[in-house]
Amino acid sequence: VPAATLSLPPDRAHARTARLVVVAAARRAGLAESDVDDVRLAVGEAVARAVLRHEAADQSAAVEVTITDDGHSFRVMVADQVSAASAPQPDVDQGGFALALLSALAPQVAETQTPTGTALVLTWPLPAMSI
Amino acid sequence: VDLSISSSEQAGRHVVAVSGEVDVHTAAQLGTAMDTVIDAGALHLVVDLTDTPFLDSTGLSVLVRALNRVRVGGGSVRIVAPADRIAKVFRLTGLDTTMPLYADLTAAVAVD
Repeated sequence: VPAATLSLPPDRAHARTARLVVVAAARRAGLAESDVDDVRLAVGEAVARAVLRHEAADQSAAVEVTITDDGHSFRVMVADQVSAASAPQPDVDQGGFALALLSALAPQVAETQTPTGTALVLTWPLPAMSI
Repeated sequence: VDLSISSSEQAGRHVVAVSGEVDVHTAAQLGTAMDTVIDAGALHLVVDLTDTPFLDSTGLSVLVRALNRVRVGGGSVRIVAPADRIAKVFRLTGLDTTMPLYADLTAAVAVD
């Protein structure tokens, strides 16, 4: 069950909106503060990338951010509406720095194709709950 | 009204102090400020990120572009990043080897 879903207009200013919401959800899920810092940056990277992809493709549809907390892991999916087959992208990866940070900060990163675009799924394990 | 950027000269180095979150929305503003000081002839830059709570890859790109510009003339870029959250971004991308990190401004302008 998603803990929260955000539909963001592909506006650069909304990268910050996404960070604020996801950080609040990560704290609520019980992630350690050092992990929360990683979540902030990794999700910021993923949303920035999505927004830049939308800009390059002149796509005004929303970027979808879905936060899931199943008690074992905290998962954030950032889905854009730009198909992988569309025209070559300009440097949305900031010379490789964006992907380098994503893979260093999130224990698990998966890129999947959705019917309408590309989704990045970032996963952090949650601390075991004490009984 | 997203970033507040000020520049000054200390011990022969040009200090660019950044206050605010550097991200996909604001990085261009930092880029313009860096271009302005470099266009004015600054060669040895110190970017003070003490009051920067967030910096992402778009911010890194802007700093790398500035480094590449000043390097042509034998210049340098030093980074003041007391917060681990910011220093980490440089370490994880290996950029701390080309833009050395300092814990405070005094140290960054003092070392030769």
